[in-house]
Amino acid sequence: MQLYEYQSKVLLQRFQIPFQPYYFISKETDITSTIQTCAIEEALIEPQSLTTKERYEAHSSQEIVEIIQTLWAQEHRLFDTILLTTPIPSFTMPYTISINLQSELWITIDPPEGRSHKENIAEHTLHRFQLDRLIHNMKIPEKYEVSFHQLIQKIVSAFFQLEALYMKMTIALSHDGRWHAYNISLHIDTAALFRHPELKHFQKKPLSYKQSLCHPQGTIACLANGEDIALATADLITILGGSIHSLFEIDQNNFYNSFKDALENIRHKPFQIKVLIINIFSGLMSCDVIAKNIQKSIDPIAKSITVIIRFEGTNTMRGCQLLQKTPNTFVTSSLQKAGKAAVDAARRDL
Amino acid sequence: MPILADHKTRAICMNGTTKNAIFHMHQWLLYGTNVVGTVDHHSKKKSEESLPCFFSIQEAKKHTNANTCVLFCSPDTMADAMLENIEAEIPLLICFTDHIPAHDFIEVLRIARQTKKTTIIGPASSGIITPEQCNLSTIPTYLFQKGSVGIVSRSPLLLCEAACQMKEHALGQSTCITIGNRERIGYSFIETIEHFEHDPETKVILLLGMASGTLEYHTAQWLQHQTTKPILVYLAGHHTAYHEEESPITPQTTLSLFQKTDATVIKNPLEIGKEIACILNPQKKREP
Repeated sequence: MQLYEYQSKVLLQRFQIPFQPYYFISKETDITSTIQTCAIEEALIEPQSLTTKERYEAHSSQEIVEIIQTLWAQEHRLFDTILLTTPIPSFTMPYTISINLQSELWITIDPPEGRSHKENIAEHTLHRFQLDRLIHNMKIPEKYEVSFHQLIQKIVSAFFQLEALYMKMTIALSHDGRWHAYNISLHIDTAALFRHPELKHFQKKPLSYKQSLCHPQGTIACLANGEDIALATADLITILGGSIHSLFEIDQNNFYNSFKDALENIRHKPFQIKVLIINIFSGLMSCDVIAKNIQKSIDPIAKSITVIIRFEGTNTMRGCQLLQKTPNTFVTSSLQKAGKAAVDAARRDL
Repeated sequence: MPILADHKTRAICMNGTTKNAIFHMHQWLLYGTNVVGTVDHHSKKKSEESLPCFFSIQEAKKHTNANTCVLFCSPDTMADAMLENIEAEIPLLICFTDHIPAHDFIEVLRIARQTKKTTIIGPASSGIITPEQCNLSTIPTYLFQKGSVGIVSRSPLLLCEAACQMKEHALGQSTCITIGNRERIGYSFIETIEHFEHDPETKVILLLGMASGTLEYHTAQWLQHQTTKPILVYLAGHHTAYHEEESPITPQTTLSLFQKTDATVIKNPLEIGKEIACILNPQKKREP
């Protein structure tokens, strides 16, 4: 779960990671009152979005209000919250720090110039000699060594205590010799939220299916009961000359609801989706059971676009027979035939 | 001599009194797998298959000489269960559970690597199947038959697709392993290939992965100078313009690395069976 920068700041402040004063606005009615209360004359304004990064500079309270109001008035705005930060007074040495949990845990520091440096974090801490090596390689001036050391330990400690998967931030020294952190990116492990009830409210309601956008101009949507099989179907469609718009991965443990929700989403997709290819490889759940689930929810979508269904696995024949009579739907057990039918249908409908 | 699981496997099932575990254990016993008991900290009753139920892994190992443990524990108790198995020096753990907290799993993995006594498959694995000998998977077995192709796959669906195509060409498998489709897993492609490399029954290795995976990228780097047996690779998603996050590893970089190795890269998912047949039977000409 990736957090917005303002959420990350709220969490990391508990670990005494130093930030410039910041404020966030989540309601249009709060704009003027927030600006008056915080009494700032200069600010960096960042609409909080996980997909795009925009930043505006304002040099008077009037300008701050104007920019925020303009942003809020956008017809298709992609944010619900705006972060306001007071700028760091003339700073030097911006280092980018990232901690990444792969099969091991690594901290990487990128200096403003020169090569980055990596250290392995074992047993929840960085050892003194590793910190010394970082300080040496990053050419941190001697009088800032202690504060740099303390800041890195706080960052590592926050990473472990929040059970983060990934954390990235830039730290810089202001003219008064203090470190400041900004540009925060924080990913929290949703699987560990049972140990962090205080973080649960950051979690959006998860979708019952997984969606990935491939090509915005594509005409075929692909739905399958696993990520790999969805990608393999997409590969085949591409080889046959078709273009995939998006992939939908169905949760096998919650098949009916997941399938229904994904279809509902596809129905409201842009008009260029002409064909839906459904590729189900059934194992423990047999094709006829899956076919009955599909029958219950396929009608509305089959009225507007062509649906191609490929079944393979347990009880394939029975599954195919059950769906044979559904209008505007082609059912087969051959992946090749399904792929070809999908590409042909997409071309025909152009 | 298949790898990891064969007729010598003596499997114990942890949390084996749950509904899901009972269903799968029944399938395994029907297949002829040597399941020797279950472990449940909260219940001492016998399982539905009349297998003995033990309080701890250590006790189970002492009484049954189990060498494999299949774990059906919940995500929050999984790390503890794995540590119990590592302490009891169980050589092989198969972990079906998904959504295990990453920090827990990394700690378990670190300890397992230090002790060097336990191999962990998963999390989110669908298990291992050695046709006609041992099934410790949640995959339908009718697709698999004895043969000489070793398959390692991220997840069960591509494995089933490949097995289905191989059946059409009358080809079978030595061992099929699903290693789990998460970023952080125990037993990886590299270790599986090393095992298959030393298995005399395996003539060809098939690797089924995902083009955007970090693990696949590292496997391609490692593969540059390592194997003697023919390896076939299919990476799902290499034609699809889909690339997650800001990772420097793209499907194209992984694919081009694999192409620099001796591995045969299969581009069309429909040609997995045909490509294996061509390698095992060179007389069979490849159609254009």
